[in-house]
Amino acid sequence: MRARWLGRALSILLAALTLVLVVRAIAPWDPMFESPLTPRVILGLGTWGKFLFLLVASVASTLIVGKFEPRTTTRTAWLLLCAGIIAICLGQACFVTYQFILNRKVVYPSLADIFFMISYPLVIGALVLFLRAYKESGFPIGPASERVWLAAGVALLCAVGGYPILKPLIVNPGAPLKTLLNVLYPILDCILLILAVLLIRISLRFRGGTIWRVWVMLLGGFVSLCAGDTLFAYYLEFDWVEVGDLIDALFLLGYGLVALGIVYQRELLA
Amino acid sequence: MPGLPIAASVRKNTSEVLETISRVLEPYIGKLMARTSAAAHCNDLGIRSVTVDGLQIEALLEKLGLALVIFLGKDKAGTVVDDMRKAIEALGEPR
Repeated sequence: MRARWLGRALSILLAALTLVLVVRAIAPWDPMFESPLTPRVILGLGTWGKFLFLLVASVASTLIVGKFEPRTTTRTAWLLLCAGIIAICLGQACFVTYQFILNRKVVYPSLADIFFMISYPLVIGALVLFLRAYKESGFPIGPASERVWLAAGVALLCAVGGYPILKPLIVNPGAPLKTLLNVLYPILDCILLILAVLLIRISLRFRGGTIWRVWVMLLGGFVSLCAGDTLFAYYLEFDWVEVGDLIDALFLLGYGLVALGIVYQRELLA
Repeated sequence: MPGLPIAASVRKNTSEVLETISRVLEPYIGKLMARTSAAAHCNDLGIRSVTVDGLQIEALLEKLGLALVIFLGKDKAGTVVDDMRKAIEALGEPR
């Protein structure tokens, strides 16, 4: 009952916040973005909104882990995912601290990037284990060849999208740490995206059921985060200032969908 | 608390059992997956006759339960298996 109420409330909040950020990305000149939705208010809605979704996802995923039997693939997968989400939440907490407690601009790279980097192997490990668990379930999830072609297709798409970002970094590298992060983020995002797309394809076979809703939300969230990260890389590399609000919207949508997927999974297990 | 297994002597119509299982599974895994997975697991167990006995039904429920555990955890999967068992028990004798 409580989880159902929470899911609805989060959905409404996510839709409202995403709408505000998307409208600002499309029409930043609109008078409402001078007052009442000043840049500081927009920053607050985005930063605190993302933190709230991640906090809910962290707490709910911790509760989910205990619902699975010890020493099973699924429990380990949920444990890794939970740890990954907590790491992302800590990264976002750094942004909250910088922007609203210390009232300072977030520099790049920052302390937050340590947590974001830690989250990648955890989330990737979780998705690999979920993929294995799906296969072991005995449900007809489609031929392995389909997954090979799909993974190759997404990898090709990532290579095409990643080339303009990675080439200048390799040809003309900047500060070592910044360059390392700028190279690592797109590569790790590509791996994450391949796994998420494979799992979404499998989940589509469960469409119409509650399991499908959980996984499409959760994995759709990761796809949105990868899209946000890619745009952020373009923003850094080519000074695409105009996509700033869109990047914020994609991250917010990503974290919101991940939180919703986890809340629905918790509801499913209750 | 898991329900009691269906008695070995019980006989039910196979297609009715599969339809009942699909009906219980549908809200969780969707209509298409419910139908295909029930039929696929039945095939894996070598159940091809018009009627099934209690032992075969229990074997089928166990297989489906193990698959559901991955998505629903042990407790919830156990509840769903019990729901399937009750629904199958409520079916009449094969005609």
